[in-house]
Amino acid sequence: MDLFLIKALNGLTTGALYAMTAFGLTFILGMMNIPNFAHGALFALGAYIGFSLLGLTGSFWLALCLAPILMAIFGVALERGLIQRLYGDNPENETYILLVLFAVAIMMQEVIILGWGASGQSTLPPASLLGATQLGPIFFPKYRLFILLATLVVIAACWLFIERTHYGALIKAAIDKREMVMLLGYDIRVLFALSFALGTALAALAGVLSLPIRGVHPFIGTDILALSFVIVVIGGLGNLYGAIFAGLLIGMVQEFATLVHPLAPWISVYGVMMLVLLLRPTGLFGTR
Amino acid sequence: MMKDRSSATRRSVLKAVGAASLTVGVGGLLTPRRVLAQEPVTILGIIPQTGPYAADGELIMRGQQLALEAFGGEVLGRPINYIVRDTANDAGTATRRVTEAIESEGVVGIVGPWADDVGQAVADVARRHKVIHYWSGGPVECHRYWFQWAPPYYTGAKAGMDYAMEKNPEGKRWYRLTADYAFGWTLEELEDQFAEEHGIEWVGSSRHVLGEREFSRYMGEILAAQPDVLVINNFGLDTAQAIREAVAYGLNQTTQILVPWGSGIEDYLRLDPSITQGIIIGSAFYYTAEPAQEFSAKYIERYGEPPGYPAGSGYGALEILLNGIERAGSSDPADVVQALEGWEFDSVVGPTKIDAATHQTIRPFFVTEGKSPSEMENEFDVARVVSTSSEMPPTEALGCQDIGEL
Repeated sequence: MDLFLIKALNGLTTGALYAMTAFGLTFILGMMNIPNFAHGALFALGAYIGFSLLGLTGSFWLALCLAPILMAIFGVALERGLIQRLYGDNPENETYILLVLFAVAIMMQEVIILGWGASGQSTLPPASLLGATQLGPIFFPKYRLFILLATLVVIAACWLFIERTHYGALIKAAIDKREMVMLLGYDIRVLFALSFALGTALAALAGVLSLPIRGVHPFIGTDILALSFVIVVIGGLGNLYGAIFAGLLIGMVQEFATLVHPLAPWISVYGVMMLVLLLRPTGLFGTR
Repeated sequence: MMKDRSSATRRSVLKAVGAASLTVGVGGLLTPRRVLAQEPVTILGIIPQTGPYAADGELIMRGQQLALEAFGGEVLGRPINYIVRDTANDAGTATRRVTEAIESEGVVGIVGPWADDVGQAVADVARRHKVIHYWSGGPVECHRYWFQWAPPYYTGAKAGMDYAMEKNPEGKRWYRLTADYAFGWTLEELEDQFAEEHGIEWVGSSRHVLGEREFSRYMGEILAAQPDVLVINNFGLDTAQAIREAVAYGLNQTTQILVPWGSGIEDYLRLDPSITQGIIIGSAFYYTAEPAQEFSAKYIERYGEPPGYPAGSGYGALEILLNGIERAGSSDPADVVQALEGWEFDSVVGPTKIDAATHQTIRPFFVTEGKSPSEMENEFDVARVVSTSSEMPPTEALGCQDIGEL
């Protein structure tokens, strides 16, 4: 029972980080209809900026708040300065954006190596979250419980934005029916920039949250990118919240898969994806 | 009678060739020795510059650079032509690049690579081309031109386990977390052997993939087993991740953590001292060892951090190779091999001997223990050397029954 409880909580924690990253990817993929190959690199860069802010300020909380904001600005700059130049006046023109984002990902990884070196770094959780706390029969790290709580708060905030604000409604509508939103006279480029900013901020937030448990190294983006795409596919394109459920699901599956074989956590991810696509090609909650 | 023009032409050519040959031969004899002596000695560094070990590759090259500087860039009065090729962490790529370097650059000695499988590939090339290969790492098929700088895994595993048992003789319930590839399997086999000698009971064992990022998945099983000692059989970033998670789950409060084969100071610097205090980490190089002081001081001055195992191996292997060339008085690989075999000397890791039968470098292996933050005298004073060992396994266990011919 103890083992089951620890593994369930671990799975939810890992899944929460996956969910947040994939949730951000859903905004970009759903809105712009292109897989953002730079998403993993944005996660990594966000983590490194958080690491540097922590070093400069000594405050994990400041790093946690500032890094996503800085990365959101970077996301807007990337969208406006590079991607928008590719699609120009025709947002349907997705030619080359995929390749450019792939190139940006490689460049960002090399910039990280140049700026922070190729070795990994590590941080501690904030003092108030150090150590473990008793939950019934088990002891569980406080920081991991915080990750669960933080993810809940962030998703709630995103839900409020999407369901209760004008721009949120526009984003949701554009993910569902982009052409309709354009025909209604809205400037879709503003929504593109907003989605990119949101997606980047969420990736960066996940990156900073993962710092004390995974540390940071130049290849963390590569690790998370493939998983994020799989999670979005499992959750279903066109559904913002599907990625959250799928992220938690994958976290749990990977956690319990270690009981079978060392390779099982990685194989199981793609096994789940295959199964979902066979049974439901649009994903669990997908509409397209 | 008309002259036979073809005969005349043939004779002329023969005369010309004979004259040319004589000129070259006499010219060679008369060429001042200092001109010949300026021919560089070409050494190849086959290093991971890309891929998962790129960070270690960068550190290895730092050590090699300092070794070159220690020699003043010369050996036998001749300039050292040090060239580097990237393994890309792929055996096929490394084979191709090493072969090209030997054939086109006249390489006489190779130092590197880093990963065991690539090491085997490079050793094979060195054997075919009869070029010295001095490498830092694990077990490969031995041959007369190959030498190993790092102690065998036997030495490291035994030294770490012996110290852990010495520290807590009653703690015989052990759990191990192992990277699921050749390096991890080798350590497991050796640990089984030593566990029997110490009466250790394995209460559990988990394997993880190389490059695992989420070690929390294994903590439940480890906690449930309630071991006295947790052995972490992995390396580099995997080690840092595993230790970080183990401490996050409070394992260091109840369990001794042992890393039999680590990268020395780097393992400590990747983590906070509050995490690494009391953890036992074995390494083929530790920067505070007395023989390494000069090298470590220069390294710290230049790079702002102490050298770990990768940098130490880069320096150590190249240092021995160059010293071997000096001792041989020749850069001919066969001469250098004979000069190295059986040689006893002091190197950057301490008293060193190169075993003629197996080409193992018999030298100290360092067992370190993390200091608590209050014990540290400076930011790099994160651990102390608690024991060293130069104990070699039985010859038959080294898997090198016949070192071969030159």
